[in-house]
Amino acid sequence: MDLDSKRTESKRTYEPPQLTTISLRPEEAVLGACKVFGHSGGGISQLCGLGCPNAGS
Amino acid sequence: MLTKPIDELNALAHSGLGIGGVRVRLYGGSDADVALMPTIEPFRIEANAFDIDIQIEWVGNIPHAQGCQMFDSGTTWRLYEAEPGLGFDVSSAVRGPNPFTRLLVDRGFSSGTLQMNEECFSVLPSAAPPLGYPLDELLIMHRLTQERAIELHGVGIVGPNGATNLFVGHSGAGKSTTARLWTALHKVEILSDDRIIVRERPARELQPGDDPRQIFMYGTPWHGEGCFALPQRAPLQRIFILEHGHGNLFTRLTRSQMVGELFARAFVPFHRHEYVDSALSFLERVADTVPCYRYSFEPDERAVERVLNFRE
Repeated sequence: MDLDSKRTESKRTYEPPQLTTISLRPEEAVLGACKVFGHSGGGISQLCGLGCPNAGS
Repeated sequence: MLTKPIDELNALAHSGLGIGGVRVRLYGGSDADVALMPTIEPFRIEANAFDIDIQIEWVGNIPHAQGCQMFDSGTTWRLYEAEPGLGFDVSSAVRGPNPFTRLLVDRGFSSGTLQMNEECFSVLPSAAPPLGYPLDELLIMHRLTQERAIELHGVGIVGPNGATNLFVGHSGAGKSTTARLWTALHKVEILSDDRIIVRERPARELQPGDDPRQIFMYGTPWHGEGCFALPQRAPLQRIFILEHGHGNLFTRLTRSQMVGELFARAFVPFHRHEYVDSALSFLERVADTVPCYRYSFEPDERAVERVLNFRE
């Protein structure tokens, strides 16, 4: 493989700048609530018969 | 930096767990102190060296933190500056006004102390092991900022043909539905149906000839409604951003779209810009290596077959 083809391979396709709005979900990103009780986060659940480790919260 | 040999810690009991390529050792005064949650038990490991050492320590009471507050989750935990670096306090109205547990950890997330409030536990005794949710996940999530890794809200599936797909989505996007459909139709392995750690493998996991930049997905104990949680990893071949829609349509995302969409579905400590920078840098590496598509799907078996037969 010659140098030129290597260079072409490693060259990334130009992507023009663009403004995109991305929706964040802070209530999901911040851990601390148990989804079993209607909140997001903390996948561990009483559905598994193991009890909720986040007792009382 | 690796942790000290166990005989140098003067510990009566210890245990180890491995999540997402991060090895954590707990040590303390009794077997009960270092017991693991039932959900974490499958992630128990034996090892000679660990990435994080946590000492379990019972204290009479835990007063409210005096250090500068860095973050308030608005739920059960708060973060503040404390020796040797950061302090995580976890509170619950049921256990009284003071924190019932406090994790003090260095800023490299390599060693710390997990304090347990005796007063809180005398009021309402608990048989639960000290390291529980959310501290276990917070510890790993913060440690991942020190490595080339990130935790994503997704379901990781190793398919019947060995193909590996990661379906990422907010709550309600269809992760549990996807896990249920795939397991009903095919013999698959679900690494987790809610939380997947995506990363390059730690150097110790590499074999001669392995590409250290190859991206892997790791199962975690923090599962969803289907309770899928495997202590395994698999090379990551494709990522799909899940959304409910019509026609089971794929749309290839550009690099910047992919980084943005994955970041929005990541568990990143937002309280320090270094951690956010680390997450974005790693997502760029993922975007350079793994193709990512938006998947607008209908929740029936055709959605599974569509992915299995999908070739770009």
